[in-house]
Order: sequence, then C-alpha cells, then structure tokens
Amino acid sequence: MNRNFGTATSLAFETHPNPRVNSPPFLFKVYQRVSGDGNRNILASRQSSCICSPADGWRHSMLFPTTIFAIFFATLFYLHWALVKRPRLWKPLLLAASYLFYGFWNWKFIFLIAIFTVLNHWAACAMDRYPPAQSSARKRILVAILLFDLGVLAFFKYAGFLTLTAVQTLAVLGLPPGDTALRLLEAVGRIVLPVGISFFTFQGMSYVIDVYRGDFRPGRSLLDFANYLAFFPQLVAGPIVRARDLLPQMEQPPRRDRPLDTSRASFLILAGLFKKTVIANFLAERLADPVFAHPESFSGPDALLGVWGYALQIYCDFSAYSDIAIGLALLLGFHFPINFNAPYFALSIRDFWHRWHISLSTWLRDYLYIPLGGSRGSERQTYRNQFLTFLLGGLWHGAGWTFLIWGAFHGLSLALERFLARLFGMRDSDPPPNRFWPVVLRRLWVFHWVCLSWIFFRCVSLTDALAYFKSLTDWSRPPTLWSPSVGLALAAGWCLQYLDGTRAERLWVSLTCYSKPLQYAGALLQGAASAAILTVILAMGPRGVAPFIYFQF
Amino acid sequence: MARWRDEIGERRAGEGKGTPLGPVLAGFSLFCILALLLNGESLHQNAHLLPYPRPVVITWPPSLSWRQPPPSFEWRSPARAMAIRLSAPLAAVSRGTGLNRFRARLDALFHTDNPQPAPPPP
Repeated sequence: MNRNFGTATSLAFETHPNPRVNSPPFLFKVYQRVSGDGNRNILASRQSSCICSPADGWRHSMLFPTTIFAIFFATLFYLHWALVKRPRLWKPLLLAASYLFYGFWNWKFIFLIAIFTVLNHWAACAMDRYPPAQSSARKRILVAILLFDLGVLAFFKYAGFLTLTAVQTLAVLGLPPGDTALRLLEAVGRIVLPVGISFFTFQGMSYVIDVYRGDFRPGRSLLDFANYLAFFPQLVAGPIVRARDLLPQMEQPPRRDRPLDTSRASFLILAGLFKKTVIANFLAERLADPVFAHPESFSGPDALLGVWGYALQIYCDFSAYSDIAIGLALLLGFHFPINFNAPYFALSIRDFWHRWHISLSTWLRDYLYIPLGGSRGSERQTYRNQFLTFLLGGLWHGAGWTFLIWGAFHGLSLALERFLARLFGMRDSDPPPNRFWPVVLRRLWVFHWVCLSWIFFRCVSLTDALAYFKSLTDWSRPPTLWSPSVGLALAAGWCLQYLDGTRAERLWVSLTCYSKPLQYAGALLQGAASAAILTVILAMGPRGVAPFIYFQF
Repeated sequence: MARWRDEIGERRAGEGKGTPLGPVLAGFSLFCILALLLNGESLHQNAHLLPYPRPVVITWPPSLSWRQPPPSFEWRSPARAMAIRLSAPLAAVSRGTGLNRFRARLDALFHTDNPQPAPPPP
C-alpha cells in the first residue's frame, strides 16, 4: 500500500478535498438534462444550493472521523459521566449536545427537529388519553400526525423529484417547460435536504404507531422523547432505533456503578474508523467514483471492478457508521441493536435483507409489510406486498427513478425467490446447505445479484445505468484499474465481514482484565493501544474524509 | 459473527462484567493524551484546513428597499486562528517527547511520494 491511499501526509481530519466526492450529484444532472442548454445561467446559480448536493453543508457538518467531533465527544464524555447522577442537569445536557451536533451542519434545522419532537410527542400523549375502545379518535390523531410526518418528508425530499417529473411529463406531452415551470424548478431546487430527515421521521412514526397499537406507552417527559429522537450517535444515519429500545434508557440514566463494555465499544469504533477512513475512501477514489462517473469509457473488467468496489464501499461506509454509533453509545452507557450481520455472506436475497440495514428492513416489515397483509393472504397478495414494501423502501432511499428501480429489483427478486422455492417444494424453515462449494457458489450468486442492483442505486440517471450495463458486456479490452493495492482493498473489504466475533475481537476483549487489581492496568493498556491504532488508521487513510453515503438519505 | 457479538455484549452487560467507570475514565484520558501527542504535529500542520462554522453574513440595519441592498458585513469565527495557536504548544510537546516520530514513520511508510504539507500560515 503506498500512494494509492491518498494524496497527502496529513490527518484524515478535514472533509474530502475532492468537491465531487463531497457533493454526490443527485438531481442536478437530471435538471441539466431536462432544462437543456438554454438555461445554463439558472443551472449555474443553482449549483451551489441544489436540493441534494448540500456540499457546503456537508463540509461544515460534524462527521465522526473529524477533529471537531473528537473534541465534541471527549468533552461530552466527561460531562456526561459527571452529571449522570443528576438527571435534571444530565438530560438537558444530552439534548443540548445532540442539537449542537445537528446544528453544526445547519442550525436552522434544529427548529425542524424540535417542532417534529413536540408534535409527535403531543400526538402520542393525546392517543394515550383515549381508551382503546375509542379507536376512531385515536385513528384520527394517528392519521393527522402521520400526514404531518410524511408531508414534511415529502416536502424536503420529494418536492424536487415530483416537480421534475411533472415538467418531464408535460414536455413529453408536447408542452415544453415555460419560464414559470423553470422558476418553480429553481425554487424547489433551493430547498435544502435536512441531513438524516428520513431516519428521525421513521423513528417518530414508529413511536406514534406503537402507541396507537397499544404496544408502547408514551414517555411522560417531553425531554426524554426529545433525547430519544435526537440522540446524536444515530441521528443522521441510523440505526433506526425503536422507542421501546431506547426511550426507557433515556428515562433511566446509565448507572455509574454498572461496568461499561468498553472493549466492545473501542473495538467497534476502531473497526468502523478503519472501514470508513481506509477501505471505503480508497475504494471510492480508486474504483467506484471514476467508473460510475464515466461508465461509457471503461471496459467490462473495469466496470465489474467498479461495481465490486461500490458494493464493498457502501458496506464499509454504512456499517462503519453503524459500528461507530453503537460504540459511542456504549461508551455513554446506552445499548443499540446491531444493524449489519455480514450481509454478503447471505445465501439468498431474503437472507441478505435479514443482514443488511437490519433496523430499516425490520421497520419496513413491522410498519409496512405486515399492515399491508404480509404473507397472510393469497400467494399473489404476498408477492404484491413484498414488491410494494421494497418499492417504497427504494423511494425512502432517495427521490429518483434509479432508487425506485433499485427497490423494485429487490421486490421482484424476493418474489421470484419465493416463487421458485414454492415451485421446487422448499420452505423458509429448511436449513441452508452445509457443504462448502454449494455455500460458496450461493454466496457468490447472491453477491453478484445484489451488485446488479447497486448499479441502479449508484447511477445518477437511468441513462448512466444503461451505459454501465453496456460497459459490463464489453470484454474486448483489459482492465486499467486493477493493481495489487486495489485487490488488497477489495479483499480487505470482503474479509472485514469476518471481523466480528473472531480472534481479533477476543484478543482485544482480553486486553481488559476483569480481576479487580488489574482493572486499571487493563483499561490503560487498552487506551494506549487504541491511541496507537488510531494513529495507524489516520496515517493509512487519505487526506480528508468523504461524508458517509447514508447522510444523503 | 455479529450475532455472537451482540449476544456476548448483552451477556457481559447483563452479568455486570466489563470495566468499572474509574478505570474507563483513566483509560479514556490516557487515550486522549496519547492520541494528541502522537498526532500533535500533524494536527498543527493541518489546523488551518479544519472545517469550522461558515462565515456569518450579518445585515444591519435591515432595509426594506428593493433597489438598495442593505449594508452587511461578514463575521468569521476565530476558531481557526485559535486552533492554529493552541495546537502549536501541542506540536512542541509532541516533538519534545519524540512521539511525533511514530506518526512520521507511518506517513513515510504509507505515503512515500507525497510532498510535505505546507506549513500553517502565521
């Protein structure tokens, strides 16, 4: 590994020097295509404030692997444990820290999350006041608050997409967009997408739905609910923690006399930093970004390397965020559920969704798939429910046709898998094959099938996706992107799935000795080792850190 | 796998195993000090690159006229200058203890052909 890992010898503490990496273009290219060459001035002025490329905002957001966040967390860590015995001070401190974390990106959106918190809590308390017999009153409140939640999400996330689609449709019908339509597009394009809105919207919705169903009693304190919704480790990119898991922890502050699982916390944080800072950034710079930017100029082997690179990049990026979030929460005495479980070892698409972004897939199952009917109806209804769930899951990820197709691809894959399983008389409860080669072949098949869907997910437009598929079929030229360091990074990205629960973690855990006389020695040894490993990770990583991919959702 | 991780984590937490708060605070403090000393010089060299709150444009007094733009001035946070100034003694201690060599060797190992970063502005 040499220069390929970066361009400077500095700390990986500032945002990425490549502005394109900092601002993944979303709708902008689509706007360009629709608006044509005649509107370059409008587009040029829009470039800095495009709905889905808040480059300036991201440059100023508090990313986990940055100095600003390190200072923020170290300060909070000491204050947290100093004040945890005094809930009247501790709870406002935690909320202020979470709002500071969020407001560092754009302070105006603190008001949005505050309004969101107040209204959702009010609705939950209002529903709780009615007995279950008065279900119509409860339903009215639920519908009103869900309309508000989804309306806010739609305004910020889908207004651009919907306006653009309307303009496109009119253009197809022979009505070219006039000045008014372009001005509307421009105005919509100026709406800034609040970071993490999809995550805290879903958390708020799950809370009110759980209260409506009677599965959960609302918290008595608005402050506790505000802390639950805005808790900074999971605020901007998940995992989507349910109220029943986190809210009780907010009501009862962590106890100072209860031992902390710092071994697991530090292991998760360091592993997450390595995944994000070293592997994900490298794969993005060397493979995914160049190929997906100009798919038509690369051959089939390069296109294959590019999609492998992106598949492992998004895993290392997103699971790193989840791991760091879980680790940080553990250091503060909170427990989050896991979000990833070696997803590319899945033996089927269904298995993949049990391992990938577990908090989202279980959310979709509990609040969308099952209310739609789940698998209780006929086979045809089950296929429909699966398809609709994943279609909406795709739309949750972003406003664009490529995301819709990505969701539809997974929905259809699941339906096809179910159909074939029924055709050959297999059941879901059947154990997976335990022979080596069938397992390896099935894993490779599922991995490549998922890779196909990542092409839609990553491409800015359908035209780019089609160009990518065309490149994949051209095997007349040798690969140009291959190098030993690329191979090493791909292998590392794949093998990082083995990291959990292996000897590495057991060795790390054993560094902290549980016998009382050695507690200080073990903790100090682990602290020193963590500092050394952190330095190695920072030196290996490139200069600057690109924002986490899931920030844009 | 992750299931093991979760189970073992939950079990340890449930059994009350783990590290008591006192050693945790000591270990965390040592981590912070060592991390700062190991990376102090690099931190100082890059302090001018760190992202800080964007400049705030203040418009005062507000004008209701469409034709005449109101007077405005830009306020820049002093955080960057403070970071450069505060990280200087840290870099000096890092050099004094010799811990900066560890980071320098790693940098040389992983980025052999890169130019040295520019010195921070005065």
